[in-house]
Amino acid sequence: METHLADFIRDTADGRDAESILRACVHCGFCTATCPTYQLLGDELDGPRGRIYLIKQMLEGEPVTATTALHLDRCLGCRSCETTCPSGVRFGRLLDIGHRVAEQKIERTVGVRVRRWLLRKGLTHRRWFGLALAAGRIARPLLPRSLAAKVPASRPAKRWPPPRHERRMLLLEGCVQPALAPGIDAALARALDRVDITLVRASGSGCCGALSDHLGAHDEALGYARANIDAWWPHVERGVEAIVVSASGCGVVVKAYGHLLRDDPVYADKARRVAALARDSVEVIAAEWKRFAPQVAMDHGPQRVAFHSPCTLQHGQRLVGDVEEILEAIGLELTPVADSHLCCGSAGTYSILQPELAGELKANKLAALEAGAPDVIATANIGCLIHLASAATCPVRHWVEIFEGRLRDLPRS
Amino acid sequence: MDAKTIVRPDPDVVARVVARICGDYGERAVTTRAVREHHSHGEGLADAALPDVVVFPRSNEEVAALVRLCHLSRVPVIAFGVGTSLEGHVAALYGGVCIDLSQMNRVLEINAEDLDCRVQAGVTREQLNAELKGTGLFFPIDPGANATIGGMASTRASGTNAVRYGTMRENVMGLTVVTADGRVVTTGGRARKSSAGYDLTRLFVGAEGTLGVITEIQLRLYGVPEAIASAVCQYPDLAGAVNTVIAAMQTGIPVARIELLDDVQMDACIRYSKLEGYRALPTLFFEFHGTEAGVREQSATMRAISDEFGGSEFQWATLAEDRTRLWKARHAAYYATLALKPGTTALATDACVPISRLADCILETKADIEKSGLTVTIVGHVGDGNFHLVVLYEPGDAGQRERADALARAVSMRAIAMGGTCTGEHGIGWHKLDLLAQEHGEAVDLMRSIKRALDPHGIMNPGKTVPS
Repeated sequence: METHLADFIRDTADGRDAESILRACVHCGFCTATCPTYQLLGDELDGPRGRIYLIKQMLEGEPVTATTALHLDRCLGCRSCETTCPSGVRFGRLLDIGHRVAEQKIERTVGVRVRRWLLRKGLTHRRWFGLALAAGRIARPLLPRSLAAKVPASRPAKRWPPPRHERRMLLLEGCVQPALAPGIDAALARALDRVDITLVRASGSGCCGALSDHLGAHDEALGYARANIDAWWPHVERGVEAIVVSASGCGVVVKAYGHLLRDDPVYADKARRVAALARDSVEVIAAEWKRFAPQVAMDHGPQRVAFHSPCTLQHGQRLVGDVEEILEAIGLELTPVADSHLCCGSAGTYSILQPELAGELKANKLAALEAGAPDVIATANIGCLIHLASAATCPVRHWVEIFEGRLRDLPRS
Repeated sequence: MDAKTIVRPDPDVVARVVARICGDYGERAVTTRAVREHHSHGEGLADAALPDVVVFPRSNEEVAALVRLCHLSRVPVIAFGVGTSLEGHVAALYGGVCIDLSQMNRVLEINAEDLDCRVQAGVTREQLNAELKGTGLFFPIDPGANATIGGMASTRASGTNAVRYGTMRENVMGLTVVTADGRVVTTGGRARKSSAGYDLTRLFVGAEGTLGVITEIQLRLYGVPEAIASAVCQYPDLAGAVNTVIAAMQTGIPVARIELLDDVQMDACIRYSKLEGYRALPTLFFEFHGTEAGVREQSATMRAISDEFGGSEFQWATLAEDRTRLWKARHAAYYATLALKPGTTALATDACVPISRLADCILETKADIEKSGLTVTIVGHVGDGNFHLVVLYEPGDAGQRERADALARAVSMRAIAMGGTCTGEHGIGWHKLDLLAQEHGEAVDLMRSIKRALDPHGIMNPGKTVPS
């Protein structure tokens, strides 16, 4: 598409990025058919092509109106359109740029700003979030039902294995997951311990920065990225093999650190190296599969699993079908799931900021997941997990927990 | 209506009409710039012109009320489907009210026993075929884009199946039209033939919204053939491919589709649609419909002809998903060409000639292309003698645009000189107004008289179809 960016952005890194992305779009509209919000709302501006127009106008210096913000805010950022686009338009990157510009140019009401600030601060600080969640659990019987549904019951983690192996990998613990579902990373650590890998939790690492970036606080996101790099760097220098992320929503961001910090003279090189080390848990487990295979107990009996592939896994990281392959290889029966490319509506803080759309997407997703009468729903991202669990009729688990549960009991020594 | 009578309406009047429509239609009337811009152009040349308001009616009566209001206020009316026309048909050259028919998207009736159906104008061709699934019927007209039936009727569109099934001209049996003064009129009927009076249906088919707004269409349907086979054949040179087509048509093989892609287009499609197993050579896509035996016989004759012109082995696609992949790639040819040079703009030509002149026309044109120094693909429904150039140019480069325009004009003039037409299926819009005069001469005067009689105030899609 022909574009003439306005002076305020033309000669910036974002401007150059945006221009090349906009030029790649040929307007065929294949993306609209796979866009979850277009399917629900049927409005051109609630599909990728319409949003590209809106961002283009904004970057060409047109005034940013409440309508612009409305349609950009309604985008899930699921990047299903990127998977569909034959021209390779990197919509996710364009959207991030669009959010940043909109955030500077749009006047949000005080209430909305406070809400977005609270979400950023409340969710991304592990300790605050842990305290709030604990309070929520105590007060759960007193909370209105809609709020109570957002407070998941506690499932404490089982033990962490001692650090005893030469092979070491770092773990991104992130912000909300250690409080909401500490069992996931503990299960991952125990599984990797079986194949002689120690999973290291570096002190000082925290939120990946995704929530801040999606809420338009780009600099705050970069701050989180730098803090993580600082916390990991000594380990990287000592030769950790990988940085493992069990939440696909965080993994997609760590993998983009190199891009995010490309213009930071101090951090650019480190960020590239860190990004290159980032792995989703499925990549690590698949790579060690030969050593896992003999340890799988195939006598656990049949269990029917519906797998929900998070957008950040299938569209963001392009890891398609890998988890399903492992789940089948450990003897589980995968039930068919229709429209598996569509978002569940969790999408970071989307479920809180756009409750109606998120609710519709959740209902559709659960109907598709439960159509095959599964015993359990598996997924690969904490956001999707909590979102789906609030209304699912069967348990929702991270697939790593299911996987680890199927490994044969170790002989007591 | 001559040039002097088309003037932009008084801004105060437009403002009053817009306010009235916004009041009546609430959220279904939109003045946001992004929406108006989206409705200001089709594909192809990006000379956009924004309407003042875009409104989404849901019934014939609402369309009639809108047009009546515009008729009384002398404000232009532009009907809009999904914006995939190629000659600037939907550009609001004089501002006005854009009537987006996308919410009138119901299939009203399917008469399987009579092989016909009635749809609202906003139904898209893919939607119609999805709804026909299970009836054993299909609607064959398939322009590249997933256009609306209303838009296709208005531009007299066709597509890859036209060689076997005809164009919109042959497949529209009747219409409901809102006239320029806001009457709802039904034309044609469900009988397969009729000698009753003027053929108003065919007057509105291809009128590009300049005589009225089409709101409902009665369409012919066809039984899904028992056997369908698609094949791809590649040729060492363009002449071999085109001569295969000419011989096939003269032999009378009832081929359902026969599409040409030149080497540049094939290269673009291989990259854009990730086609595997093909080379960037002049290529024909064939499809045969019929009984198992019929398809076998047709394809054997075709192979014999193709062999004579140096064609490769046929690569068959008989599984439905393989065929879909192939034809999807063909339908995305325009976008594939655009993706060859990101950021460039394209103009598409649409020459159509009597079949015996096809080789001359294409080969002379290919020589022009080579001289032009531009990136150009050739793709076409060659069974009908119809082919397109997709000419890429840098939007900011006046020299390139000039050369692109010259190339396009040359191919149109060549087709007209060979007894053909400047547009086989895209239409006139406003980009080809001068060529219409070249092609039809005196007859254009008669067209003007019809326009004046049916649209006395010149509000229906002004500046299009008939030169003033």
